Amino acid sequence: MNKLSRTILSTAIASTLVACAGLQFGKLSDAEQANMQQLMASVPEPLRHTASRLFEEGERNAVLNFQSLGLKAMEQSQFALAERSFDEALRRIEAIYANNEHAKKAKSLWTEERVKDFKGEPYERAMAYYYRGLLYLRAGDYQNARASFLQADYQDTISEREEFSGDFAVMTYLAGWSSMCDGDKVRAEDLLRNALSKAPALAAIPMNSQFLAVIDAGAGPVKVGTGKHRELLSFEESPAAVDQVVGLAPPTLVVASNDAQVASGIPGSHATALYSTHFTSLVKAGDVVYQATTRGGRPIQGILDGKAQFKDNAKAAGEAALAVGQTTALAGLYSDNADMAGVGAVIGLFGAIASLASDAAKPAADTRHWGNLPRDMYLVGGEFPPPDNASLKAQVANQTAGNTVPLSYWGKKGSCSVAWGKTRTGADSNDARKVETSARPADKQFRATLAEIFRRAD
Amino acid sequence: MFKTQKYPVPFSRRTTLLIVLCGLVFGGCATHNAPHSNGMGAIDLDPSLKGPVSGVGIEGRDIVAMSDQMMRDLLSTHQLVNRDAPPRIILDASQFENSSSQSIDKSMITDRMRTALNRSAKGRMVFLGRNYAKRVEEERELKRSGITDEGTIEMKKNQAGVDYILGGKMTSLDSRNGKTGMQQRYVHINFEMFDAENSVIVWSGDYEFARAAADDVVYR
Repeated sequence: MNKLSRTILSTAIASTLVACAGLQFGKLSDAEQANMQQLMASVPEPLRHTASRLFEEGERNAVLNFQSLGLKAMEQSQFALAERSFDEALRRIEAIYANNEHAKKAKSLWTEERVKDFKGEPYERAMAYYYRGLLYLRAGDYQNARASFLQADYQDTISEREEFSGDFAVMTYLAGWSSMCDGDKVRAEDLLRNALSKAPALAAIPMNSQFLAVIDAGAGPVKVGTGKHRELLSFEESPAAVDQVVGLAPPTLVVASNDAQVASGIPGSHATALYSTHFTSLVKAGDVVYQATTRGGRPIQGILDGKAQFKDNAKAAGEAALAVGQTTALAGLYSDNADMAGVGAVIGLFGAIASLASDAAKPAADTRHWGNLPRDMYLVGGEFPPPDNASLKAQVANQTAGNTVPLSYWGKKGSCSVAWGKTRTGADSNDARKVETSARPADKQFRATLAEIFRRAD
Repeated sequence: MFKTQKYPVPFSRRTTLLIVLCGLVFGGCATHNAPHSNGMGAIDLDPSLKGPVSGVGIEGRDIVAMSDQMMRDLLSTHQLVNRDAPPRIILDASQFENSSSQSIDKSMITDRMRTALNRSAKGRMVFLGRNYAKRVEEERELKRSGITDEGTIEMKKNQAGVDYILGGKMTSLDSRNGKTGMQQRYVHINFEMFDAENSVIVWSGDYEFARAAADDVVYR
């Protein structure tokens, strides 16, 4: 086979294989660009980057971007948008993907796993339920909060090894606490007992605590592909000690200087000292990195390993066939045996095809991940809810920008109240990911619905 | 670090070469015609039937089937529908508890039941809207203070008292088979009509279903 023939053949086969690839990105039409600009004008500035990414990347990354947007919206106290975002993410997580065309493509030799619509790993799904549960707590809807935390715990049951299955104790605890706030003492005791069996440290926060501070700390796990062909999903983690929470600062009260009536309504003249005495000790209640790294082997790993093996074998077979073909063809030429030369050429052709197939095989694991998750969750309880106008802060070790983090205090709803905060706000390792503008025709409908989602969140 | 499970690798070098050749010669690149790849315009669906998107939890069709079943059962309860004076009933989300693992707007269930019952009972049951009580009180005050006239309905001394309250509870049980990826949810919803004077339960009804499904292996 001469050089020209080989080049032509290689190009033809490569074109065929490239055409098989399911992951193709495009760009927005002028009309869609204009729609996006118009839509972004209604989105608060700190959320625009993620919102525009959501618009551009369409359904394929909808869960990923809605999760990220929802959490950023919580950080910005845009709670209606946060609720809508997590509802949209969870609606897709709960849908069963059977006979899904993009899921089928993810199993193909020629397409990467990341061609599929993102639903996240179990720890990411659990965290989406966790934040929706917190938002229900904020609204005082304790029954739906319990349902969300129960679902968060259920996501963890996918773990391969029994000792790691259903061990996200903070979710069980929060489900129990929600039950207590809802007045269902029997269910509360049951769930809290279950939580304590998994994480005895939670006993430091008594069941009858009417106040709970939830503090998310650190940076969550980052997915990376390891192995020769990046076919093995692994996680990188940042050290927990970087912004470890060490306590809850005594609450201060936001009282207008001329509002004597409000001030006099506070029990005792020194509210700070009064309420600080009722706080429990701080408990590290959840570890997202631990949850991410203890699920065990993913079933798709077998497929990715198969793809990687195919890639290696095809390469080896291709190289061997090319060598044998070349030797046979040369032997045929030197011995003036046209048949032998022909056989050599055919073997060489097969070798070239196998080499190209090796290059075209895509065994890499999907490393898209929720980039603004925390690493740890801390809880502090309080016997009574602080006044609604209390200002609360968490004390953090090694925080470069000061040693406290302001908490968002949501005030008393029914008999309970919750404060929530995050030591790292705004940071999202996903922001560095190149925008993958989706070119699927179905995304037109998705983009049209975003306007409604943002409008209803106003 | 992430631990992986060892799976049997299916390709030897010979089979790999064979797959490559057969695949390219006979199959080429299979083109996938993704369903609705061009999008799909809005379509009307029958809410009593399974829709194109579903999971293992409670869905619209369950709410329709359940409220219809409860309505038929309640209307055939002699103690409630054959009284000289139609019973006054409160049926709202306040006494319905979601104890399940699925978050839901409970009023979807109670509102549909109340509407269906109110329409079908044709006066044999009377439903009270306690959620409107504050607004009613404002109007009563306007009438009695003479700011508005009395309207066309005779003025009553008090707002209507209740005879029965319909309460209920939704519970669920989730399970999963780690080997097959199959997930299953059993949902039980019970309703109870109790006497608002002495707590006696005069009627009970329930609805249950179990649903199972498995995601594609790439999502397990």
